[in-house]
Amino acid sequence: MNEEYLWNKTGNDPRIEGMENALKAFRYAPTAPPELPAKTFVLEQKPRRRFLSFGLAFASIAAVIAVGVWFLIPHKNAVISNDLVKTVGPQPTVGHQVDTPPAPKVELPIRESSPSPIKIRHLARPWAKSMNTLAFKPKDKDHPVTFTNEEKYAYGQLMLALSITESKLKIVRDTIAGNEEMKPLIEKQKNLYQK
Amino acid sequence: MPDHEMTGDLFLFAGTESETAGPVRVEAGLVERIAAGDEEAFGELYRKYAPMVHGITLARVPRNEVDDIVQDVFISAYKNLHTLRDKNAVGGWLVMIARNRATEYFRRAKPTDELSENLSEHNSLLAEANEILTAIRALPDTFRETLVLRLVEGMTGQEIADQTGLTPESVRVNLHRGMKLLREKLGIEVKR
Repeated sequence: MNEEYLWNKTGNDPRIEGMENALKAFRYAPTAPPELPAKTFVLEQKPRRRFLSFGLAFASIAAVIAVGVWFLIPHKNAVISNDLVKTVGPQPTVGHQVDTPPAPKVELPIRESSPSPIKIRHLARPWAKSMNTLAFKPKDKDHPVTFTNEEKYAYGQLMLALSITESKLKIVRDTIAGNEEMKPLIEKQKNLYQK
Repeated sequence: MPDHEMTGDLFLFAGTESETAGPVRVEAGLVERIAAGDEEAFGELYRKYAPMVHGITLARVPRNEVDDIVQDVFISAYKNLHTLRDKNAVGGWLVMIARNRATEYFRRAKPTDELSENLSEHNSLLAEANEILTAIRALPDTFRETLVLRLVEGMTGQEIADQTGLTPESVRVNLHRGMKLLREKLGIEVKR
C-alpha cells in the first residue's frame, strides 16, 4: 500500500486507484444550495411573549396555592367526621325499655379550643368524602354555622388569593386583547417583573 | 508509513486546533456574513463543505437519502448558526450536525434496502462500488468517514483534516488503519 498516494495522491497505487474509480459513481454531484428559510421570529414581540408567560405562570401558581389553602383549612362545620366528634348521652340498651325521653345528644368537637391543622387534615380528609358534605350548608337551621377565628382568617386568605388570580387573569386577557385602557397597568406590572 | 509509527488512540474531534492544522481558517468571516443575512456567503459555505457533509452522510445512510439529508444539514446549520461558539470550527460543527441527522434518520424511518443496487448488479463497476461501500460502512465510525471522504469524495488527507477539524495525524492514522481493515474485509468477502 502506497501511503503517500493514500495521503495526498502522489505516486500511484493501482489497488486504491481502482477503488477510487469504482466509488466515483457515488461522489457528490454539485447542486444548488438549499433555499434559506425565512426568519420567523420578530424581536419586538419578545417582551410581550415573556410578559404573557409570566402572567400565565403567576396565575397558575396563585390558583394552585388557592386550592392548596382551601384543602388545608379544617372545615369543621362543613365536614362532620366520625373521627372529629364524639357522641355524649345514654347508649341504647337491648331488651330494656325506658319510658323517660332520651337525653339530647350533644356533639362536642375534640380539641375545639386549639385544633392542630395537621392532625385535623389527616383525620378529616375532606376530599375523601362526598362533595355534598363539603357544601356550606348548615345541618340544622336552628344552629347556624359559625366560623372560628382561624377559619375566618383562612377564608379571607382564600378570597385574597382568588382575587389576585382573577386580577392577573384579567391582565393576561387584556394583554392578549390589546386593551388600551390596561396598558399603564400592564407597564407597571412589567416593570415590577423586570425589577 | 510502518505500523510501529501508527501509535496513539483513534482520534475523534480533538476540539483544539493542531499546530499543523494547515492554513489559517477564514470561516469566521464567512459565518459572520451569513449571520448578517448574506445569502451569497451561505452559497460559498455550501459549495465548500457540501462534499464533506455528503461523505459523512454517505458513510451512514442509504445513498438515495443522502442528498436530502445534506440539504437538511445546511438548513439546520443556518437556523442554528447563533449556537456556533467557535466560528472557525464550522467544519467540525457541520460534521456533528450531519452525524446527528443520520442518527435521526435511522430513529425515524425504517431502514430500507437500496433497491437500485440490487437492480444494477449487472453493471460490474457499480456492483464493485457497492461492495466496497458496504464494506466501508461496516467499519468503525472514524475509519468509515475518513475513508469515504478519501475514496468517494476524492479529498486528500490534508483537505479532510482542514474540513473536519481533525488533526492531520489523526487523519493519517485513520486512513492507514481503515484501509488495512477494508482490505481485510474485502479479502474475506472475495474468498467467499
